[in-house]
Amino acid sequence: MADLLDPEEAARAGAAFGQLATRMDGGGLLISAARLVEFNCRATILIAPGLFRFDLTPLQETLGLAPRPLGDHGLRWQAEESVWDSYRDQASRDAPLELRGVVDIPGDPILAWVHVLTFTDRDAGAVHFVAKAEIKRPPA
Amino acid sequence: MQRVSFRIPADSREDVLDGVLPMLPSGIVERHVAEGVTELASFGAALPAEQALRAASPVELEALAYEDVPADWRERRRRFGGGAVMIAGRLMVRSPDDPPAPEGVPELVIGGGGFGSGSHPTTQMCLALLLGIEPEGGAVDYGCGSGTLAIAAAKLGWSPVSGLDREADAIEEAKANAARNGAQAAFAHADIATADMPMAELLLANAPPPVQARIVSELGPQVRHVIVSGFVEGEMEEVRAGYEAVGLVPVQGMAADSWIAMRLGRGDG
Repeated sequence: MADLLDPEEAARAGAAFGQLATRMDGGGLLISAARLVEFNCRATILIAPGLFRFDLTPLQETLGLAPRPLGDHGLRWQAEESVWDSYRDQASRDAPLELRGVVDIPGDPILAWVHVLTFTDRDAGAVHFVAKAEIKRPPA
Repeated sequence: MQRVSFRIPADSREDVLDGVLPMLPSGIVERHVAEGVTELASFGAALPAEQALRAASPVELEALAYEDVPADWRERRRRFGGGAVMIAGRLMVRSPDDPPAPEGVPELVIGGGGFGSGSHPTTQMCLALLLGIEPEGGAVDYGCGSGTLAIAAAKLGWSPVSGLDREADAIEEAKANAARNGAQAAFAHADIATADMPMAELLLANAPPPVQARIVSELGPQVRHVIVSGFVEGEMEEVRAGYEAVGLVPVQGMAADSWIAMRLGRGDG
């Protein structure tokens, strides 16, 4: 069975968009990527092979952030409520989007924490993003 | 800079994207081209080769083509669009950088980046609900953002029309958008939590529950219709109950991406 937390596989899967991947101290996979996505384009910002993919769609007044399961495992995501609609709230507009997920692999659940920071650049008609995901098995 | 485009069965979109989207760093823009057929397009300085794209897709990529395109996003947007939305098949909302609406289709041209410019589902649902009622007086848009709802109301025949927002930049955008669309609407910078609340026959409030509660507390007898959104499913009962307590009952509802929109009217018809 393939190692779902293999950094080499994650780097290969995200090579076209410059995703970096490394093994975390204490075990687990850390993936990260940063670039610019134009308004109205749906682009993959993070990919964890066999687990999930995150797509970002910047729109003129909001962001679409869509998780996509990869594989047959159940996947549950919970967004931090404070940033559900941060684009409408000046005070939290610069806050990162955060999601916590659980991949329901029987007997071997995997936890994921996804963190996406965005900056709108209207002159470029685009959003800059910095995204990372920490993916690991729960402590024994 | 090159653009690649291809057509796929609409119902295979997600499966195709599983294969090709990670290969396209600029992402894709999707366009409906015919019943059941979707066009996906991307651009970049170093696009994947045709063979690689075809190998990554679980279905045949029809009409796959590459072409040279301008590097400047505004020029590409003017040529290919991608930012316009059609509301209920009757009204197009687009940015100044998108191509004009097809002949005979009314349009709103909304610039700036303030909330309410038309790309958010709550704005789209409010517009759809607004299109469903006949003008019968004035309108006030609470939390007007870029002014889209107020400007649409003015263009549909509501008069006088005004809009309030707590963000000064949004008010400047709303004024510019009203001028751009030839709409008669007055916009003012105000914090709805504390400001005087003007009333009219139609109230528009694409705003979170605290704003809805303030509107309820100030509601005047002349109000005949209220179009609300800006809250999610779990907040709907609170908003609905607030309006029902002052005699406004739901007439029509819509939902998209967990967001709710409602049109409320006087229970006496």
